[in-house]
Amino acid sequence: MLSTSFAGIELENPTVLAAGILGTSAAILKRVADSGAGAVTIKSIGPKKREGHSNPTVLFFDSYLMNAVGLPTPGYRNMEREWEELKEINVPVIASIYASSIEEFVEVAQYVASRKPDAIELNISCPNTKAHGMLFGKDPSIAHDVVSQVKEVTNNIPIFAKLTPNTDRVIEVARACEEAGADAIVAFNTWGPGMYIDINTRRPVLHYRTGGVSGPAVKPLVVKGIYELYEHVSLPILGVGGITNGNDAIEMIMAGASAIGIGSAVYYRGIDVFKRICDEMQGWMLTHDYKSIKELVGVAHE
Amino acid sequence: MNDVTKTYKILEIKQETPTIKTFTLDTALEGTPGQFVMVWVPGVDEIPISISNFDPLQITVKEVGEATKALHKKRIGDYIGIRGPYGNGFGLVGERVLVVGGGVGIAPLRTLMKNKNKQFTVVLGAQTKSEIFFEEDFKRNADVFVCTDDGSYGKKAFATQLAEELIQNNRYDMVVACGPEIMLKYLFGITEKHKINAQFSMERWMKCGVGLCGHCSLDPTGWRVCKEGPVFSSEQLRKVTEFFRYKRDQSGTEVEL
Ligand SMILES: Cc1cc2nc3c(=O)[nH]c(=O)nc-3n(C[C@H](O)[C@H](O)[C@H](O)COP(=O)(O)OP(=O)(O)OC[C@H]3O[C@@H](n4cnc5c(N)ncnc54)[C@H](O)[C@@H]3O)c2cc1C
Ligand SMILES: Cc1cc2nc3c(=O)[nH]c(=O)nc-3n(C[C@H](O)[C@H](O)[C@H](O)COP(=O)(O)O)c2cc1C
Repeated sequence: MLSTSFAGIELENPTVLAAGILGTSAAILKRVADSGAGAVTIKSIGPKKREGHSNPTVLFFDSYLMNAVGLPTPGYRNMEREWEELKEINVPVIASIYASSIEEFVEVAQYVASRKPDAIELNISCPNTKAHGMLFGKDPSIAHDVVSQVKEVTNNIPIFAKLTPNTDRVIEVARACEEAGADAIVAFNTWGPGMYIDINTRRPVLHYRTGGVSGPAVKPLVVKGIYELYEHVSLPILGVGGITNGNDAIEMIMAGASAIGIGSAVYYRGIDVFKRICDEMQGWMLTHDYKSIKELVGVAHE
Repeated sequence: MNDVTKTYKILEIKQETPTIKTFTLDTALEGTPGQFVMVWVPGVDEIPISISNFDPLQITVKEVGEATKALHKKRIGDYIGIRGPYGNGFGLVGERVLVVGGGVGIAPLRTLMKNKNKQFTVVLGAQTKSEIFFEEDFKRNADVFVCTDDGSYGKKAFATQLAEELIQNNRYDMVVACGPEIMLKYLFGITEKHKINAQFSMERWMKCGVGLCGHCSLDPTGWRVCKEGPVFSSEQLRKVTEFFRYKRDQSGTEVEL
């Protein structure tokens, strides 16, 4: 009932572990797969070793999180154990990558493609470092070039473009990615960024001062963003942002997502949130007489 | 459980040893011995620190690097951030418990002594006399044995050697320990040899502290030290092949121990 396909990849269920959550090693990704995720994403991999920002890197609130982890990575050459052990994971594995130039994106993508993940996700949308990320995802022509040049070196491995919502050119960027040959859109990375100041010490708490906002509070923004994307691009959309339960997942699918990413909900509901969301979706579908998730994609537009 | 970083006033600072201070904060927590808090030193870093007393909240910190140095510079009345308590904590089984603490690893073990239903034997180990702390607190509810590497106080021995002697001559239902990983490595060899159940408090690089970021997860089980740990039982220690061999640094790169 929940099985579906996304950009040509068969999924047992539409829940996907979002990038940067739990994805730091093959061992934890395997555990997430065993906890019911339909697919898992490796924490964004960069060109060379990088520590990321100092703590505090993530802040927790009742209805949203704020993070500036700052893209820590061993670097793609430094992950032999992970690459080997990723083969043992029995759900599709998406490798998220980032870089600070188009040339570097090509370099990282070419190597990562040689390790044969089921898809490569281009993080052109991280709000938490100056040189990486969001820069590429705010300009349609740069986004186009990243995607088209990565496509040339990745041998038919599906390429997902992960978008930032923090631009009024979201649709243009998505269309540019589509024209450049992307196989799917991932919408979205975190919002803002925002800031939290401790009033006793009069200081921003995040070490990087600002951080991307995620979790339940961003869900209405994501639903609307997906709804618009669905009207303007024909690529499959992985809807990410604020999904914490089965109803949220169904809502996102009705807006136009073919699969859904889950990140912050791991904090709100625990590591077995994937199975729980699947059970809740299935419950809703039984009550409302739907036999396949595919029947629900985009129905809010009818 | 409070996950929103909140700052609290430092009410009291006690110099325990030349390198270790205990900070008493204007708040109290409820929890289990062995749990930790994430301590924000404004503008510097946020680090995991064990709870050395719950009510009022106390943390006992050794100066080793930037964040702990900045913490040691704080004065009474300054604010630091706290969230937690986090992690599982110790789960005592049986009656006769051997407690082994090495260096600043002694700190979280003091909270165990609130339990009046157990018969505790405590081994405190440090490099030298001036680095032994909390001895009097432990003595109130335990038989205490002290050792130092240089023999300046108590027995001249490693905590592991003293622990093995005690295990050979007495019956214990379990061993709990916190200290440098090298100490825990040898101690685990000893508890395995003598077939005694152990629970050790382990450390790995932590970022979020709540099991979201995955940074402290272990090979090959995927257990998160901040969530499923930091206390692991013998059965678990056998399964985690990275313990006593390697860990991951701030970037996630493996480094040999
Ligand atoms: C669960 C747990 C409980 C702890 N309890 C205590 C305690 O009660 N008292 C005490 O003095 N120390 C405790 N520590 C160790 C303490 O966290 C480190 O000494 C401290 O983070 C050092 O920071 P620094 O900036 O001073 O030193 P740095 O020079 O930055 O680091 C020195 C070493 O400390 C460790 N470290 C640094 N940052 C982190 C981090 N974010 N997460 C984990 N390890 C880190 C690393 O091994 C590093 O090599 C505990 C650690 C853990 C994981
Ligand atoms: C702690 C944390 C770390 C993240 N790291 C990454 C990352 O490395 N790469 C990336 O593309 N997105 C990253 N994200 C964004 C998430 O993948 C996701 O797009 C966003 O959090 C919205 O989904 P959510 O509300 O379900 O968390 C991170 C989010 C969080 C909370």
